[in-house]
Amino acid sequence: MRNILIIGFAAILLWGACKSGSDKKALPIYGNRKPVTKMVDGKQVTDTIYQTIPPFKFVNQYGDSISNKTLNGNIYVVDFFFTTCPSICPIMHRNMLKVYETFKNTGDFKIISHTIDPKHDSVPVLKKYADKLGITGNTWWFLQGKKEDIYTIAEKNYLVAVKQDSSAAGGYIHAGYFVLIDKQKRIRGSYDGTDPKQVDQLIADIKTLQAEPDQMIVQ
Amino acid sequence: MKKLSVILLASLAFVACSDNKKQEKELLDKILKVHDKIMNKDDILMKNKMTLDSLLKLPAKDTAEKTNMKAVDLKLKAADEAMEVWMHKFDPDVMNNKSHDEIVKYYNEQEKSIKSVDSLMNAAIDESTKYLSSRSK
Repeated sequence: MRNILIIGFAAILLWGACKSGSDKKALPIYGNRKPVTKMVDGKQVTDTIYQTIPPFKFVNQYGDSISNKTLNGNIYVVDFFFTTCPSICPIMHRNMLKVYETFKNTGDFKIISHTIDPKHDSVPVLKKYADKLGITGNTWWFLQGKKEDIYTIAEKNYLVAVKQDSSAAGGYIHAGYFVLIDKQKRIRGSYDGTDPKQVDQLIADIKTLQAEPDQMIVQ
Repeated sequence: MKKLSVILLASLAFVACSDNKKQEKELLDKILKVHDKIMNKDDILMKNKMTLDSLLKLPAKDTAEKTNMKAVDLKLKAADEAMEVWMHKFDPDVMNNKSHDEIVKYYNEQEKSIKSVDSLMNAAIDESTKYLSSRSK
């Protein structure tokens, strides 16, 4: 009986050790991809071009213009919300605060929250919302822009990975996803922002990304 | 004996109060459920609207066709706006410190109005989806 217990215990220990080893593996890259062949030093090499977030321009809670260029050199997390949302947004942003608190002092990280109700959520409304959450500085931006632009970038870019995983039609923008983008503007993960466990995973994945060696910026 | 009846009364009041709270919560949950359902449909609404808007920008070949298209587009716009109006007005916090009856009344009204937004959206989405698929044939 005792032996079995010891073996069992050892197995659990071993399993735990293996698991922590596998946590270190690289994050997947989502989105569309296409192979390209090019000549390097007279040899034919096949490379993969991954989908990246295209140029955009929105305005943040301070009235500053924020574009894809402003985010160069940053890992960032994206979500979609609106300030009068009575159901899931308060839960999402309570969870996002944990992400904010963890990374607000690292120089290479941003959070961008797009309002999907730009008619109501003007710059002053967004500023008030940020103040209420206790957000200061330039780590977490609440972005406003044309509704059409927000929906287009959500559907064609940020949420493509979510769509690949789900068979349901429509309804991604209000489903509370947090999407993780790396410094090369590639999609590296999406998480249910209402689930604290998945948000913890997001925090772990951001740390993994921060430890990833910087590669050439693909544009 | 008197003491007992006081306790009994207090516990009765307590039960009634928690029943009230339960009813209010159920009503609010019902409203939020419709709201989330609508928000999920908003993706499709916006997608159809963007497709129509880009079609409307093309030079008109057939004016009757264009009028038709515009009517469908306007319905989508109206449904979208109705939803926004509801969203901006609805605030469960305005009912803080109000009586149970007032809260129930407010929630019942809100449920009715969000349901009418829902049917407006369904109709606009159905019509525009049908219109767009008939065009692509």
